[in-house]
Amino acid sequence: MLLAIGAVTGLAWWDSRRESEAILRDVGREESVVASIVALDLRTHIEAAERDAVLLAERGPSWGEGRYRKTAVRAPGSPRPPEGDPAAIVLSILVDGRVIDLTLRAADLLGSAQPIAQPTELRLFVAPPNETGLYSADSWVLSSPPIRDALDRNLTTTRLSREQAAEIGLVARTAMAGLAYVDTAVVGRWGVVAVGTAARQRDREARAFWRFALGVAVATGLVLLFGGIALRNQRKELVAQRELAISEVQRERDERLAQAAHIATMGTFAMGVVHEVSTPLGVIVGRAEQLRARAGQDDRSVHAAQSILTQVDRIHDVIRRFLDMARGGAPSLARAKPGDLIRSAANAVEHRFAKAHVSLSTDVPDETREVLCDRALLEQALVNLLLNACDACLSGGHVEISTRSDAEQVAFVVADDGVGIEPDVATRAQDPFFTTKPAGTGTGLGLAIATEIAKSHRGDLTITPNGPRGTRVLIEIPVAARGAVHAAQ
Amino acid sequence: MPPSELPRVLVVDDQCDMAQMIAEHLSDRGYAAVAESSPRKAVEMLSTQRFDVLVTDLRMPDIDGITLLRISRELDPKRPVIMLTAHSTVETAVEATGRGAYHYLIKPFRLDLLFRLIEQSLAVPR
Repeated sequence: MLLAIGAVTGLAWWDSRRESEAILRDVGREESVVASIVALDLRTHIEAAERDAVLLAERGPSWGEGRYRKTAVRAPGSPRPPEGDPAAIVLSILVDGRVIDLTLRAADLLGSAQPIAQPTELRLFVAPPNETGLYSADSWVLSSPPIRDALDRNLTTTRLSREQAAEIGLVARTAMAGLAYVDTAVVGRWGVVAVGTAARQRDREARAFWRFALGVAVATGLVLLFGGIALRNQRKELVAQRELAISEVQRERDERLAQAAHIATMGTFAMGVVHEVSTPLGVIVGRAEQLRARAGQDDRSVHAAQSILTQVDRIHDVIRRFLDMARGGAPSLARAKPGDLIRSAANAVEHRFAKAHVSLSTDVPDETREVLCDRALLEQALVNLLLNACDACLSGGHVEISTRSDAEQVAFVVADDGVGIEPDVATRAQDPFFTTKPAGTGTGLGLAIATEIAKSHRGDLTITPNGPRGTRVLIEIPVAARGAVHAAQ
Repeated sequence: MPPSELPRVLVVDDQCDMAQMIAEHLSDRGYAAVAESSPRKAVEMLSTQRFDVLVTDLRMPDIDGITLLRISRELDPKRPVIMLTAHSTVETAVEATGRGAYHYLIKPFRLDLLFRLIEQSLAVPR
C-alpha cells in the first residue's frame, strides 16, 4: 500500500512539475510578445527623438525644453556633462557635426506601455545601448546578470530563478523574461525586457479552477437538490405502494381468516349438529329393529321397519359427508345426470308433498348437461329446497323443480307459488338457524346446508321472488368437463 | 339361567330413550341390563353392585365417558367397557380405547354389532 501511495504521489509530483514547466514556457512566450509590442512603441519614441535632435540642432537647445528633461549640445568627442539622476537615460545623437544630448527616463520611453506592468508580477525594462543597467518605468535601475547575458546573446526569452526574480522586484518565484530589440542606426541597439512570473498564470488558473469548482458545486448542488426532491417523492411513492401492498396483504389475510373462521364455525356447528342428531338416530335404529323383530310374518310391518332403517342409513351417510365437507374436505365427485338427481330428490319428498296437498312437477330437458357432484350431498340440497318450497305453499299450491344448462353451468331451479319472501328475509335466509317458520317446526338449517353444499361444488345458491307470488331458488354448479369421471378427494 | 347368574350390563347414556332402548334389547337377548341416564348415579352403582360389562356414551354432562371409564377400571380393571360415540368424537373414542376401553361404536349403530361386542368381551377370561 505504501508503494502504491508512493507511486501515486510521485506521479502526481511529476505531472505537477511538467505542468509547471509548460506554464513557464507559456509565460516566456507571453512576455516575449509583450516585449515585442513595447519595443515597437520604443522605436517610435526613439525615432521621434532623432527627429527632435535634428530640430534642436537647427533651432537651438531651448526648442527641446519641456519635451525632454534636459537637452545639451556639445562637440563630438567632448565628455558628456555629469548626470545627477541615476535613472536618467541620455540619447546622444550626432547631427551636423554636433552631439545633441536628450535626457529622459524609461518612463518617458515606456509611457504607453505602463498599464501593462503590474508590481511584483510583471515588470518592464529598457536596456539602452552601452549600458549595463536595466531601466524600469518606475525609475529604478537594476542589475540582472542573466538578463544582461540574454541581451548580449540576442535571446528572446530567459529564465530567472526565485532569487533573481526577487532581485528585480518580483515575487520570489521562478520568472520568465521576454526580450525584444530595437535597432537604430543613430543610437544603436536597445533592448526591451518584460519579466513576469507564473503566479499570474497560476492565479488565472486558480481563478478558473475555482470558477469551475463553483460551477461544479452549484451544478452538483442543483442535481442533489432536484435529485433529493425526486428521491423523496420516489420514496413517498414507494412508501405509499408498500402501504398499499401491506393493506392488500392484510385485507387478503383478513379475508382468509374470516373464511377460516367461517369454516371453523361451520365445522364446529356441523360437529354439534352431528352429535345432537346421532343419538336420536340411534334410538330410531334400535326401535326400528325392535319393531322388525316383533313384526313376525306381517310383511308390511317388516317392510316399514326396514324402510326406517334404510332412511336412517341414508341420513347418517349425509351427516357424515356433510361433516367431512364442513371440516374442509372436498366432496367426493362423480358424473351425474341432473334428471336422476331431481327424480331421486322428488321421490324422497313425495310423501310430505302428498300430506300437504301440494303438487310437484319436474322439468328436465334432454339436453341438460351432466354435472360433477357428490350425489348424496346434492340430492340433500335439493330435498331441503323442495321441503322449504312445500312448507311455503298453501294447500293446493304448486312447486316445480327444473333444470337448465349452458356451456359452463347447470342450474337447478325450485320455484313455488307460495307465500313468497321479503327482500330483507331473502338476504338472511341462508344464515344458519334463521327461519320464518313457527317455533318448533323448522331448524333454520335447510337453506344454510344447501348453500354450503352448492359452494362446496364451486357453485352458488340464489333466492329471488317468483313473479307476483312465490319464491324461486337457484343452485348453479359447473358442468362436468369432458373426460372427467371422478375427482379425487 | 337364574336371573342372578345372567351377565349384568350397565348402560349409561344421558339420553334416557337411548339407554332404555339398548337395555331392553339386551334384556331380550338374555342379559340382565340396567339403564341409567345419570353418570353420577352410574358411579354409585358401579361401586355398590356387580356389573360384568359397562356400555357408556362418551359425551355426557357432569361426568363424561372417559371419567366413567377411568372409575370403572379403578373399581374393576377386568370389566370390559364399550364406548358409544357420535361421528364427531371418534378420535376421543380411539383415545379411550388406548386408555383401556374394550371397543367403541359410532352412533347410530346396528344393535347386533353391540351384541357381538358384548359377547366377545365376556368370552375373554377375567
